[in-house]
Amino acid sequence: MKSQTVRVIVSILFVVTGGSFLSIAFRSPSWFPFALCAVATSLSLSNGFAKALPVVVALGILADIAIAGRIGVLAFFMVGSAYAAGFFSRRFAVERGIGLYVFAGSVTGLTVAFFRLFSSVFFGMSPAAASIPGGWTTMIASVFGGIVVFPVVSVGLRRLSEWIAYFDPAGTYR
Amino acid sequence: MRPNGVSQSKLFRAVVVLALLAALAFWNPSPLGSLFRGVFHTLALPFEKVFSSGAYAFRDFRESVSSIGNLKGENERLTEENLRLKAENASLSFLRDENDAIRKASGLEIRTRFDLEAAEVVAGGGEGGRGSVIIDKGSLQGVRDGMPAVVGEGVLVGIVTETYPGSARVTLVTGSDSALGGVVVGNGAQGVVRGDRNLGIVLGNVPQASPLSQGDRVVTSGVGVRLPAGLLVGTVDSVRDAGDRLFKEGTIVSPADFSSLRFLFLVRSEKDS
Repeated sequence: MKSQTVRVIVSILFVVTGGSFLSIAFRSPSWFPFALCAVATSLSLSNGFAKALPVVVALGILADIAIAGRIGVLAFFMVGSAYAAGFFSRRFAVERGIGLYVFAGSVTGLTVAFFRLFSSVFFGMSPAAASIPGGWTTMIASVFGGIVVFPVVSVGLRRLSEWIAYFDPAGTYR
Repeated sequence: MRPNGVSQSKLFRAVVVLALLAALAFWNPSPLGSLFRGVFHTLALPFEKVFSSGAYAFRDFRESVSSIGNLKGENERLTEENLRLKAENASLSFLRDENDAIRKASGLEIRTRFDLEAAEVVAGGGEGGRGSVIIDKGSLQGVRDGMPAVVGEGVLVGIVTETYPGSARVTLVTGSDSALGGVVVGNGAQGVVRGDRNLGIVLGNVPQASPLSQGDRVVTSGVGVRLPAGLLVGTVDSVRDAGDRLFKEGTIVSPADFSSLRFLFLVRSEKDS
């Protein structure tokens, strides 16, 4: 129970930090979606998609509330990222090492690229969906961004898990 | 080797959750979203202020560091520009009176014309990170839905679309959901100023017969939403056919830098002249 509370508090702090720090310090391009999708990918790879799904949905909706976007948009892309990571990791049999970071970072980056390019077109009903400026540049830059951000988030999540294991030695929550 | 049923079950679960989230995003329940955002931002406001202050300090430091390498070149460029501007200043001085008259006619004397409330951006947001921002003033400070947010000498950057007790959401004019009446200064051509995929601004629905050309200044018309007329939106950068042969549209470049917004002024009311 204690560890659940810690996870909820950490999630809220993460979202507030992302909305107020990352979105302002790195506004163009915003790094917050990278961090969120990296969390989704990392949770899916470490815990499995089924176990990660509730956490990813909750975190995505919380992030949508924090950054004042349409509720469900970020969560939609995060779930997509988590599923794609689980699906393709089985197909490509990527399990550890630099290859894992490149693979997971690429999945994260591609998801963010889709989010940046298509979220307003799909959910904002914006016209001229076919004429997205700088689409390929955004795609390539986002993949690089994902490869940079994923290891940082992944290490952070591992440290958090170790800390919670220390905090909750009985293993009430795994 | 995993049984096939497990993969299908995961796929089914993912599809169901994605469909539910897409439906939620399309539905976009404003009252519900507003309620949750109100609670969240009321509780998180102290933290948002601390984190956003840190973010501004970090951004300033990052920009200072990145500008050090450019100082020599920048100094030479500024020296040349200084000489050029001195010459230009002499030739432009006679236009000053005319310019003042235009500013008054366009309603750009912002501080003398409007009762303003200063606010600071405490969180970025919106789809793609550019659609809207959260500010540190809310209903307790008299902020109401529909208030325009301006920077500088009356450059419109957004409109308050949700208010919470201590904070508010400002939808930027670049936001996909943004739409307001615009008019071209000088020739009176009217159209709809709308956000273009959170990236830019477009003046659309301009009749083919109306004059619209590069360099035209676009201000708010005051038609439609509760928005004072004469707030500067930006300058027309390019004009194209809308594709339906009835209207044309122009891409607008705003003088405001939406990627580094910090302080905004909310227009409370128009002062009596």
